[in-house]
Amino acid sequence: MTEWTLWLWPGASYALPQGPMVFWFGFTLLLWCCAALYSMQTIQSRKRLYWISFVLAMLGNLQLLLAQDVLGFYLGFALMSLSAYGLVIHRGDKTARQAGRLYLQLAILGELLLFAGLLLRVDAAEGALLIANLQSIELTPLTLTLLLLGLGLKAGFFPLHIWLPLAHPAAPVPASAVLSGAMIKAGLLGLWQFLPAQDPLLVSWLPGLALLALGSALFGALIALLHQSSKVVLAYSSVSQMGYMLLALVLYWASPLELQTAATWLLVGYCCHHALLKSALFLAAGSVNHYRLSTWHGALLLWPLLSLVALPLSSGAMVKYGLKQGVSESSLPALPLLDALLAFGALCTALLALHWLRLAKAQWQLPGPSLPGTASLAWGILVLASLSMPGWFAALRPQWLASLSFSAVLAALWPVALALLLHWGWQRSGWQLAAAWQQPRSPALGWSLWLKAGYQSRSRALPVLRLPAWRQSERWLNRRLATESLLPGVCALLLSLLLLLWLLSG
Amino acid sequence: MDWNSWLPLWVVLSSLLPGLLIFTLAEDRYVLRTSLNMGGVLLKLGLVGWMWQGVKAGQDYYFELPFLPGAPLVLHGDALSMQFVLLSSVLWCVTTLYAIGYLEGSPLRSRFFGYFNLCVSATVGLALSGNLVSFVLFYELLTLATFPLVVHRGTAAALKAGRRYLAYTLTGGTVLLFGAALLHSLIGSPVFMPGGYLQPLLAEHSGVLTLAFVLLIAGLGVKAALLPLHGWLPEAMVAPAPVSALLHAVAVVKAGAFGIVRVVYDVFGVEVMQQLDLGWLLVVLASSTILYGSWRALQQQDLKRRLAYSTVSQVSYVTLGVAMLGPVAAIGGLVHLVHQGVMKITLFFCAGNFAETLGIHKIQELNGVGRRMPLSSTAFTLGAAGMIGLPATAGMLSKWYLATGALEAGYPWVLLVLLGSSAMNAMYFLPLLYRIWFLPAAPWPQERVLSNRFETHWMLLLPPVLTAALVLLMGLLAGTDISPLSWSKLIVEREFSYD
Repeated sequence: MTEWTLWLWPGASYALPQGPMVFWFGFTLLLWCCAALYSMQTIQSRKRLYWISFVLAMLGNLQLLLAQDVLGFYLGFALMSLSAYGLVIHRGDKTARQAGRLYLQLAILGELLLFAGLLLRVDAAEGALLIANLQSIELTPLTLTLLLLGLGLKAGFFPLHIWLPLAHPAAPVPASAVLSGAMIKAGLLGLWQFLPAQDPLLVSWLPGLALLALGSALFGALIALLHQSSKVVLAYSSVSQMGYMLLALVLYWASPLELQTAATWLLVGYCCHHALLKSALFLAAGSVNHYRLSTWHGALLLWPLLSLVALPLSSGAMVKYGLKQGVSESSLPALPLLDALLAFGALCTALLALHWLRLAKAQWQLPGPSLPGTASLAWGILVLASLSMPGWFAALRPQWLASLSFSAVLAALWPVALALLLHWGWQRSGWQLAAAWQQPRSPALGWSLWLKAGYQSRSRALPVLRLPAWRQSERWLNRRLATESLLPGVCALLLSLLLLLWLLSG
Repeated sequence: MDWNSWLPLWVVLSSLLPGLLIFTLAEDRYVLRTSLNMGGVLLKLGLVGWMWQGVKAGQDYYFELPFLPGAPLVLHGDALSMQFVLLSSVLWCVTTLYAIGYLEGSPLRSRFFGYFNLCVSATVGLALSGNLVSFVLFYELLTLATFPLVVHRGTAAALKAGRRYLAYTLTGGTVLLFGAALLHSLIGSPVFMPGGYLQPLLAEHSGVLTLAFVLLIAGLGVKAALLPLHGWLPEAMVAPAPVSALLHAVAVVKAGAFGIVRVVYDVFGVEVMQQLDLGWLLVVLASSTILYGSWRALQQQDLKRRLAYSTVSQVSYVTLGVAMLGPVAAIGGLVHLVHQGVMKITLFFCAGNFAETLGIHKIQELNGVGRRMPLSSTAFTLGAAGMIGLPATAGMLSKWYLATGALEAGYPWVLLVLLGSSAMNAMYFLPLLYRIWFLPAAPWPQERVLSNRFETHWMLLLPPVLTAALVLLMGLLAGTDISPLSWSKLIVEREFSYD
């Protein structure tokens, strides 16, 4: 492996991506380039803020992919997370600011947890700073929890997703595309790289993680059905899809050594597939919202959706087949349950896709400026990459071919057909959800506000709140400390000193 | 006489002599005063650079002058003292530039710069002191030289702060003197040596040694702003911005922290500390100071006060690293001595710039400063990121080494202290950055046009930009030979490899 050790921070080391990482690096880079291309003519306000945040976040994301050492990864991770704050609050209205606040609070929390986790890992490895050196060190419950939380907060699977459905829709469209496509994958990458497969503790946690992953997949897709904004639906779809990717990761951890390579390819393939289609969908959502589109844009809008519901021939069919195959071959307990949940998940995903399509159709061809050429180009490139993925992602070609067999096609099609039927029935009946269920407000915003009260500057406009009793006594103590602590203490000290000198001389 | 043995003296004199000359100058001799100032600073920088590479190569710089019976005045350049000398010379260089720009046109500049130079001489002397008696001497000189700077403005608030400063530091100095005298009566004042020199006394006098330790730490803790003794520091922020920058980053608080390093490593030594079981006391004290300082900073509405409480918290990182008595923790503490200095001086420079240019003192007034003063605001952002310990900045490395050292030295709960302090740092710095960059600007309290080309006078702008660049470089290039981190490793190698 080409590896450079540089005179940067201690242990700094870089390597060119290799094997599956080439694809990971490739889709990340492609996403950032396409997002930049799309932004060129569509971002009209607060350009400086947008581009500075964009470039810094991009550098962070690429840095964490290339870094081979713990500190380098952490540097890229933090740079990416914190710079993305500028993207989230770019719009500047109240929703964006609230989403940004929650995002930043959780990003900082994630940083701290990750810091603690990495530190404990490095300490257990006696100071070795290369990620590769950590692989032989056993996890403890504490480090495993810290890493799962710290990195999971970025990856955004249930229940660590709370910032995601608020932050992704708040950002400008191309930024949502990279947030959902590239950045949350960094959390998954971290989990993949920092948690050694075959670790006994991790293996014992795997059934729970598998359930969590499927729970996240179902939860995201079902909650998405309650929302009426196309970007929120896509954000929840990301939560759901991150569940599937976590499942692929669980399969990788659970697979025996000889099957590990195949499991790696499946994981990377799923990430690549989702990154391309989700960023294309976000661009589609934004384009439909704000611009007048030509008819051929309809194809660009539809294809990623078909790939999302894993229609045969698409990359979705390829990775979903791989996932099912992996689950059925794995040693996880309660297999029938997992299989059933996977099938139910496919149904939910199809319902989500139809729901989104209905939302997009409602906005189709509203009056507005026509979509700029660069934006069309960026969108087109992403769709083309997604479309051709079965062609160039050779490692999963067997799965793709197998997914074309009759039984596999049938297995892939029935949830879609059922979803169509349900959706059609729902539209026909005109049945509406109870108002209390529609667009549920995330409780996380309340928690964020509560946390903010702890550190915000008091504003003169607000009436001064009465402090709790312990804070009042604390203030009293602070005053005493500041004004009167010194002299009595020193006098006592001096007296004792004189006493001592007297004793010594005597 | 050998040139090498005179070098430490010259390092001290290179600012003392210009300082004394400046006292004699008339107020309007701007050019001469400035050239004396800058000449002294640059000469010192050159001498220190020369000495630095000598110490690195293993050269010994030792200067001795008869002073008290049995206790000569010793100036000795070892690796540890070079860390502090280099920090103070570099930061003094930028602070002098800043002070010249800051005080332009204000009265009593000769007095100010005279004491300013005396102050650096005392700091450098303190860093180079080779035994406890010389250390105490320079420690007291530092107190006396900084007092006129704190009360420089002469307002009622400044005088009040000055009185409190003097009350605290003089009593602290007395206690320190008693501690030193106690040790002197037992064993004399040998030259500081790695591993300490109190081992022979341990069997007989362990009680007295404990008392001496408590006295020394109580005396040094005043300047290092350890928990019950920190009261003077937030008050002293009424001083002019360059003085605050210097009090907080280099001279006074660092003198205290540096003294604690000296006492722990070179007077008592790690083994004696372990046998007397004194380390944990200091660890607990430092940890509570860290948390308390951060907690208090969170409540402040005045920018400089918030920075002051942040100093209370951050300086104790140094004490914490040293007190844990492990080599890795020591690296963390020693490197934070430098890192905290550079980061905090950046923040104070920027706070000074906001106050001078736009009249901003309160946190609520910071809204939208980023667009009006982008360079200062960027520097402030980098300094704050360093304080939080975000990666790529110097602060992250200190935190990393301190935390690793805490695990190694058997204080796992210190990790929680560090994380808690980082979280609180984020809580009191990020809202500032949010105001600076993302909120729309309100009318400034008191705007002054200091420059037509830059956002403020170039002498006020250049220092924070330079130090902010240093914050980043010290973090990114920590693996290079010239980084503070490598130097701290060298110190620890020499301090821990005695036998």
